[in-house]
Amino acid sequence: MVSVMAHDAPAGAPPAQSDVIIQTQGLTKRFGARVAVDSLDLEVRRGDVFALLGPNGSGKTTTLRMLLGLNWPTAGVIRIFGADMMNGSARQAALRRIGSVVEQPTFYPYLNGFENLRGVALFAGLPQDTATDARIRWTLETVGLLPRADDAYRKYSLGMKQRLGVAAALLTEPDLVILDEPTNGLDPIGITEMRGLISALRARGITVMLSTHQLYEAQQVCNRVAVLQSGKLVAQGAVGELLSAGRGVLLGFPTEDGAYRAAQALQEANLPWAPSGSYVRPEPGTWTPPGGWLLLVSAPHERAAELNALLTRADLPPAEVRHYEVSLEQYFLTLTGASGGASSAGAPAYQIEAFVSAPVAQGGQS
Amino acid sequence: MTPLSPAPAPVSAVPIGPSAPKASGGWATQLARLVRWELFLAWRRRGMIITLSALLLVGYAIVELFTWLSWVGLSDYPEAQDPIATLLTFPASISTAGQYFGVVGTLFLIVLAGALVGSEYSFGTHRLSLARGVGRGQLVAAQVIAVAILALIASGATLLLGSIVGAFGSVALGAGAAPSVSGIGELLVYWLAVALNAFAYALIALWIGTLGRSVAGAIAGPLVYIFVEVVATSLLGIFKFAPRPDALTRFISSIPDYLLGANASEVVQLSGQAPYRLLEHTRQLGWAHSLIVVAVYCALFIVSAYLVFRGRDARE
Repeated sequence: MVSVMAHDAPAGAPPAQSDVIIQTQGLTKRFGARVAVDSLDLEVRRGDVFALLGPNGSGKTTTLRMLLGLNWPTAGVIRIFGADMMNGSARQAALRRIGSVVEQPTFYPYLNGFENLRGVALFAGLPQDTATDARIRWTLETVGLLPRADDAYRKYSLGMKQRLGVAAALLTEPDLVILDEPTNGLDPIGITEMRGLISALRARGITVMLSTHQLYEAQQVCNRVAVLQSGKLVAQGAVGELLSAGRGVLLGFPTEDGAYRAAQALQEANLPWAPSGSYVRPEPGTWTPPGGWLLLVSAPHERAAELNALLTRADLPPAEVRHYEVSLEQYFLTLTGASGGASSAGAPAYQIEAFVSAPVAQGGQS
Repeated sequence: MTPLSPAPAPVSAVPIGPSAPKASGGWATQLARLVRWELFLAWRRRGMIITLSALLLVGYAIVELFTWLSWVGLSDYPEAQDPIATLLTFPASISTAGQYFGVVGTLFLIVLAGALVGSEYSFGTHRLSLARGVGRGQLVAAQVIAVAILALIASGATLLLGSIVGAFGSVALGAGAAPSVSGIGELLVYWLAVALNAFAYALIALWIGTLGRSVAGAIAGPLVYIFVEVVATSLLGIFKFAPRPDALTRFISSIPDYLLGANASEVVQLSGQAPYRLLEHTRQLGWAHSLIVVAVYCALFIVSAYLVFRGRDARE
């Protein structure tokens, strides 16, 4: 598993105000009686690759649209680069520093790729000169569309449209890039390239905010995430911090009674470094101990040997001891209550059934 | 130890390409760019432009052809030929072109404006500009100015055609008036009036296109308005002939004087009075009344379109 650590301020230390690129406070959007986004407090810091995660209809796209001035908030404050986005001229100045693709990329179907990017440059206030044209050609080349630059946009495939959207986002050399489901419609090569592109942006210090359903992708490229459900923020923080609570030691037992007694023994031992445990059910097709009973103990990995020794002394030796680390996907499914057995290539092979006492997130807002 | 993930590329290794030029220009400069962009969009819809222009041209050619055929057919009646000969020569040929444009050109412009404004919503391309810092007011202003320029270009081209036809007719028939400085002034004012007439109706397309977020609505709306206006003007005009008019009758009969069509055509008629007398002056509303009423209509369409656009989310 890839560990993505926060690269900015140490955990708990508030960032300097100038390092906060996007800040929302109490951001709310209602469509009639339906609350799409509910009192959202977000903070994206300079250099972050920040993912907005959530199931369909959780308010991700609405949030991005509000950040870009496409939807008006019903209540709350949005600050980008310190500018109040409800102030017309401040909003326009801030938006010129942002490259974005929201929902499906939209361009003029009867214009070709080059002309569409010329329009984007014009909207962003760039002069219509040879320098801008050179920049347009470079962005088209970067996304692999230069050979098709003279083709009408309506003739592009879904993946090519997505690439043109990315080219438009990069065209103005933005300080902040906002991408809504950036890998939608891309083939596996395109997805890999998109991941590389986001990493390259981050390496250049460009802040990236994206929404995605691809939790594995998010864990690969993002350093901070926020999880939305039904418009509400349920967690926010550095990926490493959010997942740290899900690390533990997995003990396998051949019988239910053995697992139960082991849990009792650990509880009676009152170990400060192992405050809780839970029974978990192995997923079909994954490692299963003889008998199939698993106990997940929220203890540091380096304490695994001590746990083994303690249980062996109590005549409850586990059949197997393994390190366990929750994935972002499992973390997300647990938070959103959508643990319907979804799995992806990078997810560990265990499905959490219940936590006994420990909160899932530490250090993140809940 | 095998690294679990590739190390981030050093900053210098990340391709950055040629630097993007810095954004420049204030509100007015950006507005001028947007107007140019709107005109470019109209130009790039070549299929529509060519079709509409061809229809406009063919219609005008048919009108002129029938006028010529009438003149030829009436060769045995010189007194009946004279008024037709006038229509074929300069400057009356321009008024023919202007009246033709007042009907067909207005429809041309309604379709063009409706397509320009409505397609921003059907394609979702208004998001492209708004998400990059273009103000909603700038966008509406650019559309209004672009439609005005298109009205001037289209009406100017039609009147120029009328001038060419008139010059040809003057030479062929040995009739017509000679151009003069004051006459050119009248023609310029007439051009502006003809363009204003078409522009005012095209603004209805902009207004309804913004409200309804669709091309179909933007085009159908002004056509419905024109139909309703024609019917209402006819029906309400009957009250002018009431044998014993009271206050209510007078009020009802005066309503057509405040409709867009009556005032726009009054402006056109007033603009063609001297020295050429391009048109008969059939109404008596006056410059101030008609210009103010037309201006109020235009302002209502523009301001309400802006207020609706400004207040709501940018949805398709």
